[in-house]
Amino acid sequence: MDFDFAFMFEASLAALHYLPITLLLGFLPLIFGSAIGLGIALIRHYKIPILAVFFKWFVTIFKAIPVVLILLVSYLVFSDVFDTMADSLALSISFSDIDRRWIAIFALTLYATSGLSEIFRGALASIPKGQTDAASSVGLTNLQVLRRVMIPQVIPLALPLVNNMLISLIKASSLVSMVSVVDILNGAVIEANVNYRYLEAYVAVSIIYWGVCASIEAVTAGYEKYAHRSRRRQFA
Amino acid sequence: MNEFFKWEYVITLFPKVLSALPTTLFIVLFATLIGSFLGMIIAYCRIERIPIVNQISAVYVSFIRGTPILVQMFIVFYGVPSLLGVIGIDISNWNRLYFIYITYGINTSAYFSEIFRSAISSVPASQYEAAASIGLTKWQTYRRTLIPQAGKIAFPNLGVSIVNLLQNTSLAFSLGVLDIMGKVQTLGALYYRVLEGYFIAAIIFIVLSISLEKLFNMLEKRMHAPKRSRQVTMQPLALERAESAMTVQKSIK
Repeated sequence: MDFDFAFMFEASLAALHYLPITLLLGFLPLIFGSAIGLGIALIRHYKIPILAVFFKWFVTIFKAIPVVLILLVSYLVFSDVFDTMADSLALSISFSDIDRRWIAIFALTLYATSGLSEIFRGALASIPKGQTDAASSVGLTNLQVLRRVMIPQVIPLALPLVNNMLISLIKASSLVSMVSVVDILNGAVIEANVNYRYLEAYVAVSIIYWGVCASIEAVTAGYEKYAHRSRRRQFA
Repeated sequence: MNEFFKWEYVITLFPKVLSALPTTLFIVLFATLIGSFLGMIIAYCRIERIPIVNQISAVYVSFIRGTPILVQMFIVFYGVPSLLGVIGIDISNWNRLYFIYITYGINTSAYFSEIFRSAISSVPASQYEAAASIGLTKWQTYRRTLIPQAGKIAFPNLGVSIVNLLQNTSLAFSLGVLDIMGKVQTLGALYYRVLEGYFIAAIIFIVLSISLEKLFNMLEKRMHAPKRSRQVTMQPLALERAESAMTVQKSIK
């Protein structure tokens, strides 16, 4: 078995060059998904008539579809529909002009939204009903209850799960090579296309992914320790 | 725009895509079997803190959970043949499905081992000590006290994990395996109809995941339901015995 460590190093350097893209594909969908997901969670929590049912189905369906499928379908739909839409709106941009990264971010956002809305919904449901009643009994409006009572409790509850979501997003971003976006995986594979040393390239990429995910996990663990410590101090 | 999506193709392609369903289900089945077997071993090693194995399995689990399954698949695909080539086994004519089984088995084992570990360590330590104090061997302790209790805790998480596994199998087509997604891609090249194929695949995945979820929910409910029939038969017996014990004592007095 010949394993070329020198080439592995070379491939990992080539892959590290694309690390910002992978991180962008992880963080941007997380931010967009959190904003939309929190909205969906609130709509479903307060059971706003038609919208709650609609989003219930939206979340159920998108949780059941694999990410690859979302990615490939959105790429296909964008590539087919975009030009006709741009024509009819008299915009002078065509499909080849837009950055394919946005399609990847769009697809990953759909994936993140369904997961994050469930996370926030679970966190909202875990706050006892008595708190809302108490808050409105001292004369807070609904919006104030939300801002001062619910959200401050939801965020720390959801944060570990949101971090898990970030890890799965970073792992899912390895799929964007299917819509011809160059991320760290594709960057290393392109490097290996020269001499067919694919194993080294994939091992190099896996180590980078591992490093990123392990550091996110370490941050989560550190945060949890910090959160638990501060709570204990409060009660002492 | 009219040519964009046609229902007639959905109808003609549906049976063809559905014929690939067994491949996907077999991947899920084999991955679950390999995953639970390996996962139990890893969980045991980590709970018992067996010196070197414990550290190795901690690194293994962290690595598998921290890397995308696409990358793992290609590492297995390129790495296993060259590793086995060192020993002198030639597997260059293996079916690609075997690599898929290995990859998904390894991947599932890491997730399952964490589920087993957290479930077993959630059983209070006093039970382990109690079992040891009445002289049960380690195997008996695991079989009779720890596993029955841990199983109930682990079950919902295993269900979620298997549904995730089902969705992950959609990546197997990148090694050229003809599972549902692979079939859709080949049919797409044949008929120039990709979007309809994706639509069918989406429907199949939605139906499969939702029915798996429902199945696990049902099993979970049944598992946690009180065993009513047995209680009904037990209670009068216990009462009778208590009464008879009282009457015996009275007669003695």
